[in-house]
Amino acid sequence: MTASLQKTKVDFAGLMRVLGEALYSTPQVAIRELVQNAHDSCTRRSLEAPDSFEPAIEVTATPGTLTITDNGAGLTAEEIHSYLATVGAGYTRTLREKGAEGLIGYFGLGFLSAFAVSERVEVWTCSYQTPEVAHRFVSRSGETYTVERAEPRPIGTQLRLILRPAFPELGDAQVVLSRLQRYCCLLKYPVSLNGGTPVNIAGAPWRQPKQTSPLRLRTLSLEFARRFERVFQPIATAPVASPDNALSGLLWIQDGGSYATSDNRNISVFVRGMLIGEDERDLLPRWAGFIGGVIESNVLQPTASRESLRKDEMYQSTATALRECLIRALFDLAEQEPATWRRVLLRHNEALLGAALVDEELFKLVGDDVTVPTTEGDFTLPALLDRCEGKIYVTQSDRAGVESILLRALKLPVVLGTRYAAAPFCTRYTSSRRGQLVLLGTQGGDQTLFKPADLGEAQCESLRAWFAMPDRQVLVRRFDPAFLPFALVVDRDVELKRSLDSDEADRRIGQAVLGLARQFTKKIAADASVRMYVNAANPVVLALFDLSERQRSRALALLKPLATLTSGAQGEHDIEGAMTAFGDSLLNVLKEG
Amino acid sequence: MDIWEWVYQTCDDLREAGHERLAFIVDELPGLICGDQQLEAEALIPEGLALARSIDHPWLEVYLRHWLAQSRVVRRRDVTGGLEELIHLLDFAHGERTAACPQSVCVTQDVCIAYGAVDGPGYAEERLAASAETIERIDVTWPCFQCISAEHAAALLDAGLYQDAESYCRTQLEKASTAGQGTLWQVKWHLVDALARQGRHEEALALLDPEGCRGMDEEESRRHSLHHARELAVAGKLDEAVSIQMQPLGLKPSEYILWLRAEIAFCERVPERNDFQLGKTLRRLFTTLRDHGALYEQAEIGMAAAKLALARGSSVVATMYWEEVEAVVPRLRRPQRIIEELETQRRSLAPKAAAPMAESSLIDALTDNPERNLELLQQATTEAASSEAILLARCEAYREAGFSNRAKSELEEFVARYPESVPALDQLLRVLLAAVDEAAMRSLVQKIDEARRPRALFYQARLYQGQRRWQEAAAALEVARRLEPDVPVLASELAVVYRHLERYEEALTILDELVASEPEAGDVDWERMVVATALGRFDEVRHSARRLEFDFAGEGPIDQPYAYCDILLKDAAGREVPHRAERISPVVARILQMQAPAVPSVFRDEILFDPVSLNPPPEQGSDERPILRFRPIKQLRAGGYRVYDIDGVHPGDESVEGLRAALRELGVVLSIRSSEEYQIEVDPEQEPVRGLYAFLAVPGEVTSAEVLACVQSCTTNWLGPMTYRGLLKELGMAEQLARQEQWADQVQL
Repeated sequence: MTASLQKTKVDFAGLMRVLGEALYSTPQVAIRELVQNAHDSCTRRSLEAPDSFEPAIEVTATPGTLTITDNGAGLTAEEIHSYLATVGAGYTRTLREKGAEGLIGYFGLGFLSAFAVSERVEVWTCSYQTPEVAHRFVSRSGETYTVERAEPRPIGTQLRLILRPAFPELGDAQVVLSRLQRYCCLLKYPVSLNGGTPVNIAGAPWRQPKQTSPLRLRTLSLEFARRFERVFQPIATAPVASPDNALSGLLWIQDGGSYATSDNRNISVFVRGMLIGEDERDLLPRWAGFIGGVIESNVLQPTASRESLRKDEMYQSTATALRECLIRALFDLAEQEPATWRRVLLRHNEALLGAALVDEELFKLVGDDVTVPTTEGDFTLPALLDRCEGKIYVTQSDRAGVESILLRALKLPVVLGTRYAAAPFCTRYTSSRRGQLVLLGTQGGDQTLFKPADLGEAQCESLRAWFAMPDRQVLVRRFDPAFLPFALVVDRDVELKRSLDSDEADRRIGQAVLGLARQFTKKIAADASVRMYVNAANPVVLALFDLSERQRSRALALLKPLATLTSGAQGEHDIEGAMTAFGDSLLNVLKEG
Repeated sequence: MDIWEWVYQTCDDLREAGHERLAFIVDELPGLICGDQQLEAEALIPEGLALARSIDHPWLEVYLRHWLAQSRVVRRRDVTGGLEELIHLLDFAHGERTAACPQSVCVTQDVCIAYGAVDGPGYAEERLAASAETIERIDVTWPCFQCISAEHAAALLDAGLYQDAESYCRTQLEKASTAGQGTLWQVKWHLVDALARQGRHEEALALLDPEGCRGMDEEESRRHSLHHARELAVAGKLDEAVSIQMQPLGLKPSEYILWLRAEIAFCERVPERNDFQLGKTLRRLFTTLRDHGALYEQAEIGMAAAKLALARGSSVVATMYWEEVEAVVPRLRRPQRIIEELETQRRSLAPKAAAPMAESSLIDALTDNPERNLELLQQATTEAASSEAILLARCEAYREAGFSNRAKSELEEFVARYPESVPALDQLLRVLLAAVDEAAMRSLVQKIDEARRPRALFYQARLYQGQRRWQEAAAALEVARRLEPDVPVLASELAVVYRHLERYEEALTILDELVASEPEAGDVDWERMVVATALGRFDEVRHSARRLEFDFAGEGPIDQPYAYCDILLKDAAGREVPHRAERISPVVARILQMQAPAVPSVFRDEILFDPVSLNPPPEQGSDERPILRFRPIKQLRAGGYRVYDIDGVHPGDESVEGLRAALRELGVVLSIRSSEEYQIEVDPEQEPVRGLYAFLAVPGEVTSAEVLACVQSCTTNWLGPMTYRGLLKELGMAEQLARQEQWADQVQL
């Protein structure tokens, strides 16, 4: 077959419908797009014919109609055909390509939004190039249009939308005002509704003159933050600025407690003065769940719908810059406003705890100040180290093991490793700063708590013999509190070995994977499953050496059932049997005097 | 069974039952772990486990622990403790109550992957058997089908069975395709690897169509890019390859080998890419895997790092890697490939014939490239090789190249051989102190001869001080001082340690001696003022103050306020909180800041503080004089105040001043805490009125009844109500308290 060049056919009506209706997430975006066109028109006039011209944009919302009037450059008849009536061809792009700055539009698609919400669109326009001639453009669908000469009118453009019944809110002054206040508050030229005062904010903090006093700037910043932060009160603010002025804005710390992984990040992004995205949270680090902000950028690129940003290299570098601004701001806050910083620490302790795990800089800043939950209340790590003589005890079990019971008796706090980020934070702190991490319920933890006894080998041997019981490894150690004669610890590894090495495991676990698991259990010694630490610092234990054999045997008969009773919540125990044995032994003692 | 359906349903059930937090964790985990946020995920898991256990939900426990393994073992390659936890999980997940949990299947898979991480080729046969066994339990519609197939393919590749791996992958992909399951990318990447290992790179590259990665999540895209970058590099499409090769800083350990293979392909074609920076990166990857217990991959990276080091002329670095890998080899079950590579590399090392260089020439020739310096230093003459300067240069280069242990061992060896070398000893002590290597420090102190032991003891004491182990620090310094009684720094250091131990008398004796022997005033005088103040020995305080050019007339305690400062007192949790104070002597401050009634009062407490300012140094040229900030040492005198608050309608400034004056008569201090912005809505129909909130600090000798009487008499005629609920509560005036509480609730005080 011979190849031939064919022209693609376009279903214009269908395309208009898709572009007009599907391009934008909400019809209210039309307000932004059309004001933006008006603003660009003013910019154009200020560039091309700047004399005696005070740019202004007036929006009028009445039931069923929305009108946007500007005194910008206006359009000639030829420009109406070239730009207004040609999808994707905006004069703004032509101007920008010539190097003009301050223009918002890019794709030449904004005017489409008018058709998405209107039954009819009417435009009256008079170009500064032909001030004596005005034109009227009318279109119902955007697919066809008429242009005719109109009554003379001032230079500029008036766009009138006869709204579809489905979009009454665009004729509601309250709704339109709230959108204008968000979208247009940072525009250069005044935008007002129904003759009211302009919605533009005079006080964007980063646009203030350099000589503005720090106190004034602080007040302005907080006011500005309150305007954008919808849910929380801002506690403190921080400027955003990049050395090349490509990025400016404001970040703030939210009041209202955050919990661990709460994610209340919000960033509003303005590109050349127009609000593009209201929830560009990914520009902030994931850990910054308590941060809000507004930024203005001339390097971020909106998507075609201009409701979000392209996730390109500039997006990544902006995110990096924001992280740096945020970290610097937190450092400054800690240094310069200790009372506010304290509020931040109290409000966002858990979020900062998690954040410090993933951000080295943040760890440097808050490592000593965030608290972890313990059996004795919340403490910072330095405070814990002071209380526990350089050690951080961490339990990873939700049930109190015997080690936790010992430490509780000593009034030493044990970090609750079952709570958010507590255990990894302690690990990080002790490995990079100071202190010894003692993980309770591990052999390492036992070695720290149960120290070598200062008894001779013969005495140790005697104790081992006296306390010998089935499936129990007796170890003579010295530990606090001294009033405890012994402590029992279940060896989980031995239990595991027994479980996986048993025939019963062959029935419930696949042979091949069990073979792998047995590679592991092969290395575990086949010891007793319970380790009994006999306390060589305990006066009763020491007194055993001075007793006659008969006395000692009676004493041991009293002590041994106690071992079962004090073994804590570790597995099943014969409490009834232990109590019976204890009662019988006590009776013997009482009877024999 | 569709595991995700179960997860979504479980989350709904949990939410309905009020377990919102647990539902959140269950829901959030996979996203975090696959989204490269392993640390965040692992921070959540213990909490999730505790919550799952509290509602006795063993299936959820399996789920959470499986995802912990996915994060820790599968992605971070941490099998140090991860393997043990996983074997416990395997046992748990196959118990009576959990065997039917769909994630039990995943756990068997996790075990295979863990052994793959420990020693992939070594356990290849067992992994093949286990994954074959597991896949029989499921069908192609299970999400696990992909993971288990991928693990089986990985084991085949590890076993060197590349053709088998290829045909296995093709079969599994076909099965999925027939069942309409879409592309199993995890399997497809193994197919790419199988083809690449057979040298069929064109076919491999063809499989990596960039269009195919549309819709992948972040983790999948990364993996795709790593494969793609390698195959593009092999195909010579370097620009394209470089543009998608990942930055090494963001790699997770499970991606190291893939990244490395791409990097090797780059370096073969662009030798300049093989530079010292690449060497440093590989060192980081190697040490991470070493610390995580991933043996085979560690050896593989070690051999690649050695080969690349050789290629850039760094035989010393290559040799060190060989030695490290040789230490790993006995722990590998099938190390043949590594051993062969080791032998090949060793054979390729040509002996150098460079002329020996003397010490001074070598030192002059050193560059800022530590690898080059290590090569150069090999040329030392026999005499120079044992010189102290060469040793120090070599150790410096070792450290910079990431081989600190080597630096340490050479320093230890040198110090043992040349105990008189003080610079080497100092260097070694600094290395040990920086690494907080307590055992090595203790051993050195024991071994070193008596003449140099005080120096070692000084560093040992520093190590203990860093850990706030003051007793041990004192013991070390006491021995040092007995050996070297005339070294001032040992004495002053010991005095500081004694102060921490509150052994003030002993500290002061030392400091008095130091001051007597030192004509110039300095730090010792400051320390002496602290200790003497703690002991109430104000003559000594004044003496040192005079030497420092302070003039405090009179005798007894110094109480001459001369500046504001902030004292960092600790709150109940141990956070340091600045409290504004007035400095009444060089080392004592009186707290001016009142605390809220709920907090124990420190108002007018007198605090002995460490006079080393905690403020950052001022910027150059700045004439700002910030309020200085100090850490407290001890409370010298309690202010003895208690604080109450009053809250209500502001009566006007004149009335407030009247109350202040009346309270002052009693010795009570009024501190207004509210600003003009404090408004109270007394009547919803009216405009809000200005409010007043203030603290009253009451000295110990004044009774609460006296204060109440004063407050009541002053506020009776005020325009709006005023509450003083703390006072009423303390005095048990229930009726009046109830009235005030009611009003406070009404106006939302």
